[in-house]
Amino acid sequence: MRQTHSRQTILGLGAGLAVLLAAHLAVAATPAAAPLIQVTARPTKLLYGVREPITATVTVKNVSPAAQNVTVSAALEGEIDEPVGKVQEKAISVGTGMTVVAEFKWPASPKRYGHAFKAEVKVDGGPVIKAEDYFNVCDHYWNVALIAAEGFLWQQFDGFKPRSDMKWADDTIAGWRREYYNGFEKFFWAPDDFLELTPDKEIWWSGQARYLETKTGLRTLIARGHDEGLKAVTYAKLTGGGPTGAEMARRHPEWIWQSGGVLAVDRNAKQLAEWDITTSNHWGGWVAVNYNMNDPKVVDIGIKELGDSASLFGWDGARWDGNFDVAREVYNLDGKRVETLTAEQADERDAQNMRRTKEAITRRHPLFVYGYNWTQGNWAQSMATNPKESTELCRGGGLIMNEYINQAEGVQHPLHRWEVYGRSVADDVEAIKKLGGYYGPILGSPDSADGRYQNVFAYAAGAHPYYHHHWGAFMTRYGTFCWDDALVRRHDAEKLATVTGNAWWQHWVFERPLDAKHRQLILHLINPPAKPTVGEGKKKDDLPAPLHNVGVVLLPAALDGWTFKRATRLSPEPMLREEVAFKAEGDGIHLTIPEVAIWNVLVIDLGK
Amino acid sequence: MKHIQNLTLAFTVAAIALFAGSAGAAAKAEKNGDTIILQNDVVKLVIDLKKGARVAEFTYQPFGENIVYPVESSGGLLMDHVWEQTWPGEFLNRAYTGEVVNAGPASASARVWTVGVAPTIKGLRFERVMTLHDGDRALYATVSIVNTTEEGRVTGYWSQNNYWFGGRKEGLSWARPAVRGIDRLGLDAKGEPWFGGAWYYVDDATAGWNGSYSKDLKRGMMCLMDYNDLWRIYDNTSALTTEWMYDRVAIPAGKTWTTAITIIPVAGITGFTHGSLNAIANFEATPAADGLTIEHQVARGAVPLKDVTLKTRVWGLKTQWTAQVPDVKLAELKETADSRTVKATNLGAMPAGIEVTLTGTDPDGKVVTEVYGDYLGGAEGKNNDPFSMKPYLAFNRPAKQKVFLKPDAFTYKPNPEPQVLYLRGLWTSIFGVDAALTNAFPKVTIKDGWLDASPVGLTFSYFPPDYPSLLSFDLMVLGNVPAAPFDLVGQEMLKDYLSVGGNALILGGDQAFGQAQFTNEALIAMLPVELGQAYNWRKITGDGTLKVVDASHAVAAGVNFGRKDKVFYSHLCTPRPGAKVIVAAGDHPLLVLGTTPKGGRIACVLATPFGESEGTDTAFWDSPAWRTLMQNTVQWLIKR
Repeated sequence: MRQTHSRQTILGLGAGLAVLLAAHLAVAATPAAAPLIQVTARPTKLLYGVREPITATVTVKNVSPAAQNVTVSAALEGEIDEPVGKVQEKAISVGTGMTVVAEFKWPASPKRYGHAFKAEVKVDGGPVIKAEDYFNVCDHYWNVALIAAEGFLWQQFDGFKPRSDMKWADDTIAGWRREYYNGFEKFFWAPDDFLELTPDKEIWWSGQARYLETKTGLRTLIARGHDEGLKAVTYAKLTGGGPTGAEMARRHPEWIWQSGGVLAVDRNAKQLAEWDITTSNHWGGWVAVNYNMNDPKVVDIGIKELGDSASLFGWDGARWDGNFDVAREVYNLDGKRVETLTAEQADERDAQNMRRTKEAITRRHPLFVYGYNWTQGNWAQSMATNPKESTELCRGGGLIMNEYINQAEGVQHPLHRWEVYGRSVADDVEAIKKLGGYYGPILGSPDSADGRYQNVFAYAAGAHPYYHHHWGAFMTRYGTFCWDDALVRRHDAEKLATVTGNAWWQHWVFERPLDAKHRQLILHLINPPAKPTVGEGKKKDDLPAPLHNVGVVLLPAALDGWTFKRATRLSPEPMLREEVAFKAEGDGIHLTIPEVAIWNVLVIDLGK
Repeated sequence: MKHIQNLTLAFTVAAIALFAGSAGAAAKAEKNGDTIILQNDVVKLVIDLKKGARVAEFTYQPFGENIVYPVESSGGLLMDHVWEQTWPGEFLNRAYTGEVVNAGPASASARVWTVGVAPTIKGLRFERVMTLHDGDRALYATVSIVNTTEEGRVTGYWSQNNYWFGGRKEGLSWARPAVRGIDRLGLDAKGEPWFGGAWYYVDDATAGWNGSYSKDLKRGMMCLMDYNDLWRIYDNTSALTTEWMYDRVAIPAGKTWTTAITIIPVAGITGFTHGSLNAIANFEATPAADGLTIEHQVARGAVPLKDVTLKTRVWGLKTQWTAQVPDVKLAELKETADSRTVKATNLGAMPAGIEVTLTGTDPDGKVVTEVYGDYLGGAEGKNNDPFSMKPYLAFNRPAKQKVFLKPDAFTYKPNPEPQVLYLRGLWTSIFGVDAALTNAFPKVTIKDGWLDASPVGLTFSYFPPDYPSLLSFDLMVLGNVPAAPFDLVGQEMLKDYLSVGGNALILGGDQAFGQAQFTNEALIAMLPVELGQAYNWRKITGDGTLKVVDASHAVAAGVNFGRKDKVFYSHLCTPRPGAKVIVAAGDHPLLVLGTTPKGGRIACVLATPFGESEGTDTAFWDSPAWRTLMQNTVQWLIKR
């Protein structure tokens, strides 16, 4: 939720800052006068479906000594500044010290992606106070994902006893909303991550990492999240574990891979024996049970369990941390090799397993999304080693996660240099997108220069920082210009524009077709990191000095017979949206960007 | 190439500057706060006491560079670990204590130490003495684990070394001696990994060395360790690490385990096929029109050899032929590798073996012989016959000369109340041995040794660290546990325990009997069943109903199985002559008893804990008769 002054510029806040305008206070247009009312604007949900009506509220609190009559105007805005639906008005009276909530509703938005809910509250005979907040409209979650991580729900318990009230769930969701997380991944929760995701028990210690979980707690958290438009994604895996997995392996050794007659079950015997004993101190464990993915009947167990779990808990998606991938050689207990697969055959079988999984679950849950911890180095490596599976994972909008990218600080890491990092992420996103997928690198996103640049290179490429992000409000409002499926990357930057100074931009030029008479060219202008390698920007002070008066010339090829209409720059920090003055000259359209502090998204509207 | 030449020039200039003040200088050691510097005229190293006393810088003059990459990325040499702890372990960033032991000039030495905290190493003092000698490029290290406590400890040491050449990972490669020849892996010019065979681990090392090198820059580091203590070699192309792990060792109270590590920088070498204190060698074999061109590269190890001869043998592996190869003679081995090229002629079809016999005279006049070799596949490819899946050429793994820390004499004496050691693997509780023990012996004491897994291997939470504690037990229960966590020392101890009258109950499972892979021949010979090999257990497809075979034996007293008491999976182990089969499941022997010459008793339960009842069968673990059987068995074992 935001407040605005009467001018357009909005003070921006980075994600991770604890002091995020929690009060969402509005100030009077005349700073010297004491405020009469406080206004907050809030859409009910952070994320709406494309057929879902939009509801929002404006809360007016009277902080003056007299009753106030106010007129509340509410409007929706999409794209850069396009009105959506009709402006609505309500007149309300607010007694002194009282709070009144005005509710508004619109039919489903015809637009997609980022929207603003904007409120203007006029006090009779007094000032106008504005407030706004943001939300997305999209059916496919990964398309707009800013996802949080949730492991052990410590807040649910008091000394390992479940709390009787669910305020913890409300607080958890509220905390995510403040940072504009529109979904969360709950990991390591199941008694067995492969075959027990529909526990009969009310309370259990999970099979991976040993988290204490309750059925009521999970269902409540997911339901409360859904109330506010947050999606819930479950962790999924070909490997189970813990006492549940070990017991299933004992009962059904034929379901488990084995080597030399030894079942592929980790041998932490003491951990298993003590797993379900609650003591005063928590300890985590991992006793993996590796199910035989070469046996389609075993794979079917996992597929059904995920579908049943989605029905039981309300999951909106699953994110694999180990796909249902086959082994190249399988032996039976006689020591005979029963299956030998070449690398290509294994790749095909892996693709089949994941295809069957998606088909079976989507039949039951049509909007379910699928994500995978998949690429380690870069996408080209994944495609070289597992082309069929990689392609299948992307098909239909799968999210490809990259966990290893978060270790780019190490000298050993292939993306240790920022210039390599940025381009590699852009290339990978493009390649994945061409196959129908989305890209979600795990980013630590610390409150530092490095943390910001991790996000810059993700967003500019069109990726979705996974688990942590900066600039959630900005990306919720303006993620359109990074995440629209219609965006096409251009590889002829030097033919389209020139940019003065040191800004990096050539790898981040995109075309966005809107309709027969409207298209956009989007340039991401990036102030290069102050130091060349990841790991050198550990403080916020390590940010480079802003670039000033960056000259951009749009060359004739950029226009390509279209007419320049306007250019708008969007910045997350400081957060602003500003039209850029231009001058048409013989060689092109000249723009001057007054400042690129870290990253600007330059959106150029072209018309016919 | 020009870039590499420019780099080489830059490094050389830097090295000259670094050693400018030390030309002709002898060895010296100096402590400055938290660092200790050792140097001689060719090597300078810096030990960082605050970072696990690792060697944080290592500069060898011919290299012209510090080869240790940034400490923040875990760079360092001689970093201590124990492999029952996952990385980073407790030592990597620990502040050690250190002192200069010898300040020079003949030798410069530093000793560093710390004390272990985790249970398996609590109270053990880890000491490392590092030495440079005047005029010698080798870094000599001695690692000692001193048991300062009143109890024995069992631990497995692990050395980690992280460095590169030319300030980059591209081109970094490793060579390790293995049964199928020299196993190599590395990173290419683009930083992409490549593997010659075994991936990161070598579990069948044929000698105690692990070498890393840069072919382009012609420099390498040869790490020498004691083969008799070596468990496995591990080199990682992603993490850029050079490591090896040692056999687990039992250290009685007051005793010390020691091992030597020698690290030798080598210039002028493009790889490694051999490493020892006597010589470090490589050969590059390239097909030529008229045969095979073999470039020998040989450098001094730690011992200066003179009058060196290299005799090369090249022979066919699938077809019989032997090539002619002239000898190479060198007056002496030098620090920088000497290169000599010979031509092997009259070759036949590939694949071939190449063996080099190096002889030389040491300073005492003794003739030293080193033999090394490799497999040459040519168009035949890898050293693996696709039909037999065996190597065309298998290099020998010498028998380890193990020295176990044992008392001179030991005996077993029964306790007034039974003491039992239960080594617990997975699913063992299903056999009901705990209830059998407490029902039979209400005052029994059961000590647990839990099977545990770490990224580098299996271990027990407890295993007797010395003979007094070993012989304090009246019964050892092996509950689905393999040989690996025993290691060689534990198997020897188990054998000794049984040989003096100790007793054992061995329970079935996927890591028991043939699955366990015991190697101690004397131990195996004591057991009343033939263990068999891997794939030693099966689902019983016919009749798996339990029945008493020898009702006259005390163990069978009162055991009356129901008609539906069943075993679902059992081991395929043949009872030895003289063993007694008490219970069977259909035709499958289930409970087999034996004795040892000094009166020890051994019971083998060949049932496994797997499966579940379908329909009306009763799984054996739910059978009241089974509980009676187990109680009788433990009473018989402990002879009460």
